[in-house]
Amino acid sequence: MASVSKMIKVEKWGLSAVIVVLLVTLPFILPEYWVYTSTDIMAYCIFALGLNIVLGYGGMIAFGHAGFYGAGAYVLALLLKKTNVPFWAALLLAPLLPTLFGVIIGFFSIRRRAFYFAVITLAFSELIWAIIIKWYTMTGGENGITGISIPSIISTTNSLYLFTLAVTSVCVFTIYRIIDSPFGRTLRAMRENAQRMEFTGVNLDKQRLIAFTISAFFASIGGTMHAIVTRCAFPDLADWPKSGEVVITCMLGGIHTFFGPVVGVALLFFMNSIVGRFTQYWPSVLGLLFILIVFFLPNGVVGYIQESKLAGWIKRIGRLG
Amino acid sequence: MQLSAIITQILAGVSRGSVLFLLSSGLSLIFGVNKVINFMHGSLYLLAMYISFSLATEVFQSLQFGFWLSLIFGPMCIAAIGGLTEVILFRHLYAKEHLMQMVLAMALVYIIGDVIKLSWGVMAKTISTPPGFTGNVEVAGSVVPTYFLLVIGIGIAVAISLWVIVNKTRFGRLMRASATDPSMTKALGVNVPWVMTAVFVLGSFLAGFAGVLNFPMSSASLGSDMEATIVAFIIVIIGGTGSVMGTFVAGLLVGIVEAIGIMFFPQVTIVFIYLLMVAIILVRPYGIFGRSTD
Repeated sequence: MASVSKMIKVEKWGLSAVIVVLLVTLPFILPEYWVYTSTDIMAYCIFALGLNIVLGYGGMIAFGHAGFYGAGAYVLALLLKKTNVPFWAALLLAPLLPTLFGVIIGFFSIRRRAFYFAVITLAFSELIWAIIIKWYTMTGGENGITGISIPSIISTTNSLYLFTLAVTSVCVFTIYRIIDSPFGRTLRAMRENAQRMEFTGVNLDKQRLIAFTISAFFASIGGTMHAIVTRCAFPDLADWPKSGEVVITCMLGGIHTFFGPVVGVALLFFMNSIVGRFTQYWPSVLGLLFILIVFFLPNGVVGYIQESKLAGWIKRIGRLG
Repeated sequence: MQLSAIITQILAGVSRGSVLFLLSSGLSLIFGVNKVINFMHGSLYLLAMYISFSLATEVFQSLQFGFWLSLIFGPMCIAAIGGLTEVILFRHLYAKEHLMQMVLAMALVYIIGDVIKLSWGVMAKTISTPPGFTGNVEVAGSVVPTYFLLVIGIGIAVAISLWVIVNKTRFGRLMRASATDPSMTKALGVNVPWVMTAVFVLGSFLAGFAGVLNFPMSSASLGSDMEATIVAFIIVIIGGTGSVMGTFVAGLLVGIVEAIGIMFFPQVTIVFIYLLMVAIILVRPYGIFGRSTD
């Protein structure tokens, strides 16, 4: 058993190393527009992977994660524009307030079953959005905040890409370790059979709250990074369509797989850029996509690939469902 | 602030509460029987306003009977749309996990939103109070639009009717049986899928009805769909699922809190609603009239 797991580990690390090298060299190969898009994709990946902690691994249907994403973006923007906090401090501080929101919101919504949880998380995220859009003096309301300045070391397209890649890698690695830990295993077990876990002495509410808070934390980091990449923050980052979008992103890739959300994000951005050229009705396209996935691809693209005969070795490495 | 103005505002809140009750009762029914978290409920509410706008101003030209006809036909369109989505889409997902149903409902919200944008544009639509109810009436020394009283009256009438339907009729029994144990009910020979469709149609009708009734008091604009859905959910949470009385009381409560909030703290009114919800679920986790049916 030990040698098999060692083999997988070596394969895992080997593949990861190859991917990292590939990603690092990307900015020198691709045209600038794609580098910029990739940077934004990476920020969104942190968001999606964060959501999937509760959605895929926790089995909790959270439709309000955009609240944390948007709050993460706005707190950074406000810190940089309205206070004299230096950039690197702002970067570290920004995700803290949304994470606090996560604890509070989680506290009220965790106790209940799927219905209440989904609705209360959605409702609170709309509250966050409402605050952002109404507090004109602080947030600029609908106009958003633009022109965030970032330090010159990371302000070129390539350097920003590499910086985001570093942050994203750390986040991905951390999330992976969390999922693979006893805590993560407990979470997954709770998803499968909560009652049995309760009988073994697990405090369901506490574990779920911890998972939700961690998830909110990463979602807000995603938002903070997005604000850095785009140099601005707009209210729609916290609005419910964004919450739905990130859920569909995870589902598109496969919520029961680790890298599913990443694949979903890439596909989403790709589709958005194509659709955006033809019509302004992206929501309808997204809606249709939702419907297609629900009926034909409930396990997402990666899930589908896993269940099919091909790519057996990708299965072993990517699967952590 | 004068007492008369306060009374007028509170009555505005009560009539709004009446509308909210109509909207939320539909949601409560659909959730109770079909076990579907119907995110598109508010979209149907909004769509009804736009449909009645077109019906009243174009199809039925003059506003004489236009509004009343749209009050009948608008919700019927919405009920039909609800029924179609149930039969074509939702029905196949009852056996699957809740996530799929919610995602489907969310998808329809996106689509309906775009349909509205495509058909009616981005400008908000308004409609004037129907003739016969444009005047004001004196209640306890304050001036109150007659229409408010109509809405309140209709709300009470529907509440009583719904209570009777749910508790005293055969259909109500079938509804409650299907909600409690669908497979057993089916085994007893009841056409449960039909009951589910009927409930979805009824719930959607109520949403549409609420929308048209509310239209003269407010306006139809993009973005109020999810707003309405969330308020309806909050009311169902506050009132407790499975209780007509609970939804009615909760609707009134939210309507009045909203009205008072607008009067004194217009910018943060929405926060009060959330505080109300939080307060209630801390004290009574299943809502005021709810029971633990989990």
